[in-house]
Amino acid sequence: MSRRTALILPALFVLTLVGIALAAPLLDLANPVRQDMANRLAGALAGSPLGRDEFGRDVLSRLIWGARTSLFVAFTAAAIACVLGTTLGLIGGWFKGIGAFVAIRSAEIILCFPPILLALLVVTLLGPGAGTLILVISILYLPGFVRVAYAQVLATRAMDYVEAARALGLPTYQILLKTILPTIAGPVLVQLSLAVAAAIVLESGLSFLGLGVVPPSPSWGLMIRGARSTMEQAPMLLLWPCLALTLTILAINLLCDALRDWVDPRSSAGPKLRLIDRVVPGLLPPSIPDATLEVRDLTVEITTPAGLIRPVDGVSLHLAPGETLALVGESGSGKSLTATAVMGLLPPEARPFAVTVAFVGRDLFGMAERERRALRGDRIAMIFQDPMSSLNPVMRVGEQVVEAIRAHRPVSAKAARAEALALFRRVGIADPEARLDAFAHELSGGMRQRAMIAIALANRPQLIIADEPTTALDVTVQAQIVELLAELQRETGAALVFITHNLGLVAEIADRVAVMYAGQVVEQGPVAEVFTSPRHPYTAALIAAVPEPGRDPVGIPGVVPQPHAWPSGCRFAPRCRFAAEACGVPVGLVETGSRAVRCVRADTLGALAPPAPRAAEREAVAGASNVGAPLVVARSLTKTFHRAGFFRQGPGVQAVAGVDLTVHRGEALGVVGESGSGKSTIGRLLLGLIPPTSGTVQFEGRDLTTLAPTAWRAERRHMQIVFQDPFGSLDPRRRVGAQIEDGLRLHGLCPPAERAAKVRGLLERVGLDPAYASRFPHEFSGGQRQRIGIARALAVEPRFLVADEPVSALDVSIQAQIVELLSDLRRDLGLALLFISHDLPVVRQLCDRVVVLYLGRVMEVGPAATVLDQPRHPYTQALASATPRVQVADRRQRILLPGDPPSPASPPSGCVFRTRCAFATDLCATTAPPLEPAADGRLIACHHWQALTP
Amino acid sequence: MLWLIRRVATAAVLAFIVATIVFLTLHLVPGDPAEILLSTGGSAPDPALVEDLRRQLGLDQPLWHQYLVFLERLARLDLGRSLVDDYPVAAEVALRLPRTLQLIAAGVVLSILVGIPCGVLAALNPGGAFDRLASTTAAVLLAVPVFVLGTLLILVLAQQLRLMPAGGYVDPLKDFPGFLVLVSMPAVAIAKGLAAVLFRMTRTSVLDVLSRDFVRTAKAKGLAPLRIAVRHVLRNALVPILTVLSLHMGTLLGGTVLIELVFNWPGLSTPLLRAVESRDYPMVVGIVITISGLFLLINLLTDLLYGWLDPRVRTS
Repeated sequence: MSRRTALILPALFVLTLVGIALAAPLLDLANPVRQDMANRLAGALAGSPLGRDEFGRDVLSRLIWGARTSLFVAFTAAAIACVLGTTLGLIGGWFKGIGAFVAIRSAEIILCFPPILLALLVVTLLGPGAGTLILVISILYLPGFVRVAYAQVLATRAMDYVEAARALGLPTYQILLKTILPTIAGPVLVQLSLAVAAAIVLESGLSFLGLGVVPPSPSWGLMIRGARSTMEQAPMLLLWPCLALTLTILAINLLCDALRDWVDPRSSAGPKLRLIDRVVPGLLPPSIPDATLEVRDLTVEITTPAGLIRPVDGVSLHLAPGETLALVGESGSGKSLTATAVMGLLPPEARPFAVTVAFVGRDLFGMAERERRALRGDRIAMIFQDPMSSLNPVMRVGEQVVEAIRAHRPVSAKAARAEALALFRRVGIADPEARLDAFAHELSGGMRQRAMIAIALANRPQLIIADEPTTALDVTVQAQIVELLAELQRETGAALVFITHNLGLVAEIADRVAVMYAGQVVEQGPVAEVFTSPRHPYTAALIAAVPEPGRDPVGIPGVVPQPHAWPSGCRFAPRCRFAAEACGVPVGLVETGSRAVRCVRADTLGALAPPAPRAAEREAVAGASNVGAPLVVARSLTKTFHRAGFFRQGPGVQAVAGVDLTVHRGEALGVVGESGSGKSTIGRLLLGLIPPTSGTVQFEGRDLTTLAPTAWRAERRHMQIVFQDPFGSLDPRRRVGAQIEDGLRLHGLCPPAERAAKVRGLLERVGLDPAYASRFPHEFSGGQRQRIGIARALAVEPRFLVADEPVSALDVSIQAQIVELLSDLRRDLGLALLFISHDLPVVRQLCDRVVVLYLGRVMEVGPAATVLDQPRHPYTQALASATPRVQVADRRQRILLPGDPPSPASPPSGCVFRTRCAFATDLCATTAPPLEPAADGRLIACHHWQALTP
Repeated sequence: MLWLIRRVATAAVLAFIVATIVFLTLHLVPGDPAEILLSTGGSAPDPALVEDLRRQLGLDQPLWHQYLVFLERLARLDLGRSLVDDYPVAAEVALRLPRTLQLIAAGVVLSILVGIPCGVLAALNPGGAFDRLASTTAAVLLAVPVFVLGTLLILVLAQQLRLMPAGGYVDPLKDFPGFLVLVSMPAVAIAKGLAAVLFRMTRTSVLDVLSRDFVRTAKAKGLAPLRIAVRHVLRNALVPILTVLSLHMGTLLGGTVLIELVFNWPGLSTPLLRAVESRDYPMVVGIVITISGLFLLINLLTDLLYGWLDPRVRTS
């Protein structure tokens, strides 16, 4: 049954039932309460097709009038509960605070009573009757609506697009009506149909007990009650109301299920794609006998509603023992799928084929699943991207290592535990004994990834596949993990496949690199050669998109096409600056020596120089001259977050502690630091979106913290925000044009007639087709959404823009495009920019000045070029050195910071950085260093910076 | 440990609030409670009787005094006396509660034994024959109200086929096989909803866990499928199943009221219904407090089980 029919059939049934019930007085029915003892328990009579009951009343008529009673009670009660509950939930979820807390909790207390008992209690006091029923049922189902609405509001409230609406200055009631209500309408509708069904059950149950509808009024529950006494003589009398009741509830339940699927597409399993195991056994002997891994012509097929796609298309790789091969490419290039196929972990919908997939000469695709399982985790191991979700949350991590050991070797539990301990020690987990008994959520991100590595190493594999193992980690922790992997590889001689989108990492860790684009390998060869003289235009463009010292990045126009829309010829041709007519035909991978290239023009083009950065860029970076008077001034800014508890207030987390900050007109100020350093909190504080715990924020001399709500909203037109997550920052239910227009309308910035033209102009300004205004957000790629977010922010012509990690969710080629756009806008509009990022090279390129944060405190602040090129503070030095560089020659000695950043809930005494600082002394433990000016215009918070300056 | 204390304390606070609400219901209704309880069909009650009842319920005392007396009695497990026959409510509850508990236990055990394994089986081959059959059955079972199913079971198995006794009760300590025969039909009727809900939740939950990253990790370790199902999937899947179990206990407890009537099971239902009809307020309050307390206790137990299953709960 299709989704549509699943929704329409039960809906029709319910509607028909409601129609008949409503029309009961108009239908030519016998009087449902007229008794006729002569025809007691009679079968079908003229005018009574279903016969008569124990008092000789017409059964059909009583059924229909009964439906009227049941449905009236159920719908009225459910509607009352819905309106009241949703309102309470909306208000509670939005305003929080103590009143909301009481409202939510008091509604939940109703849930402490079994429903029918609460009903009986009320009936005792008020007596039976339809009114009592409605009262009881609406009270009973109120909490359900409060919960649903409350939970939805909380979830929606956290979305960036809601914060964007607030940042635009939309009044609260408009946000609730326009953004929140449409989002929660679906779940509330589901809850409504649930409540109606439950109300019918409760009403009939109470009537059955004789405590609901008062006889002789007809009701299905009463009919069943009456028919019970005569069930021996007239069983049909019992069946009719039972059937009516069950069918009605079934229909409403089905409607409810269908609604739920319709509201939440994730809950339905979707059509099951059959696994057709069409694995081709190895026809050819492996050509490289000593290769650890040899993959020839690997293809993965998936049947989708849009047709058959091949996200991996003819990939060939080989890997010698002890070698590291990096697999790079933008998202959607098929790197992860390739690795998953080699491991044999593809979901059943994906079917792999290959000429050869051989591990030390053994054909992986040809062997039985049993044999393959014996290799998996033993000879071949894999490390995944997100260590949190990849570890079982309810099993101690030590057990998970032990399990990996004992799956392949017959060792005792005790011996396995001893091995696990040794492994933990080896991968650098501090306090390994205690950590063996920890759960994943009790470890930091870096520790979790170390535990994952311990699992992978458990049986000393010959081949390790690491799928973006450091993407979820901070750059300082990334440096630790990469170092560890390289070390372990040297020790065990394992071959390593390292999947990443970070070219800098490739340069640091890999021997050879395979660049993938749209399911194919486009270039392969030794890293040093490929990176210094790329031969495929895509490789060259990728390298050029990475920000590096002394060279500005250049983005690649366009996006990676979807697998069902791949060009028939060279797949990169539409984005290639060298594309020619010859590129229209499919291209093969041509091997020459140690290199391989998939480009028809490779010979003509020769070694490719990176595309020249635009001249305008140079100016923007060089000319910090347009920086004017102070625009935003923050003094002793502190923000402490408290977790609300039922009995007590949780411990405070100091996200920002005593920060002084000034953003000048037209200036770009970068804010850098690890996660938990308070970067995003500062952004929101400066915009006045959250109130500081102490300290002041002044915008053009006006104190944002003391403004009245109306004045505060009026202020919104001067300052705007762009978010990190391009998917959460736009309301999925509203057209892009309408969202951009919000700010114009709200602040009356242009006459209604000109708004559409203005929106088109804004779209053009951020490099999009003006016709896109009428589209919905899901029709755009991540980079395009980010442009829309910028257009929305620009609509009010702000003087100050906070960009909170605006490029970190984007591929490097797209990242460069957005940075170019921001840089252009700054130059053209004289915008002041607070650029929050963990990516030092991007900040270096875009910003005039930079603030380095650690645990909510400023470590170093000054001109971006000075601070980032010659860092003075030990933390800035470590941060700068941990950033991987593409240019092999540019590699500096890396400073590895030990451990993870301490929790902001309990910062170290004195200098907060001292616990990870190599130069810390006793002084650092007792006294927090003040920010001291250095000769070159920067400020440093370190007791020893002068001693450390070379 | 702190987590444990907090959970128990929360349950205690809730129990206190529930008792307070039950106490207040009488006073929340507008008008004189004694008059309301004695009035039948609009005719004004005898003022002398009203005065009597007022004294009997302590309504002549100030509200705070009544409340303190109510709490003090509750602490001594004294639920007052019936208005109808002056019998102590606590004694009536003590006599009948075990029988209701037996029925509830039979229902819960039955629904767990049927619901969870069927759910796992259905999830292992979604869209297969068993999945379709079980899902349809669950949908129908969810739609049949308990008392309808109970009545139909009697109609078919007892009246028409004469396979089972239509109702009745025997003490399991005296005649266990006889008890099993008598409890089977009411237990089936009570268990049907919970079994269907558990089946659905188990199916969804197992399907969800199967697609998680840590199951992929387990596969990447080369673990055998059975071990993955037992060690990695089941325990994670049990967490949401448990939530659903505790959420639906209220429905199950309410169902016993109806089912005891249908099957002549001499539990708390009979005195409760009689008391509601005769407006025997102390008896109704006593039984409502008992069953609500039971409900809170079950929820507390599932909460504790929840913490044992999912270590993240303990620290949150």
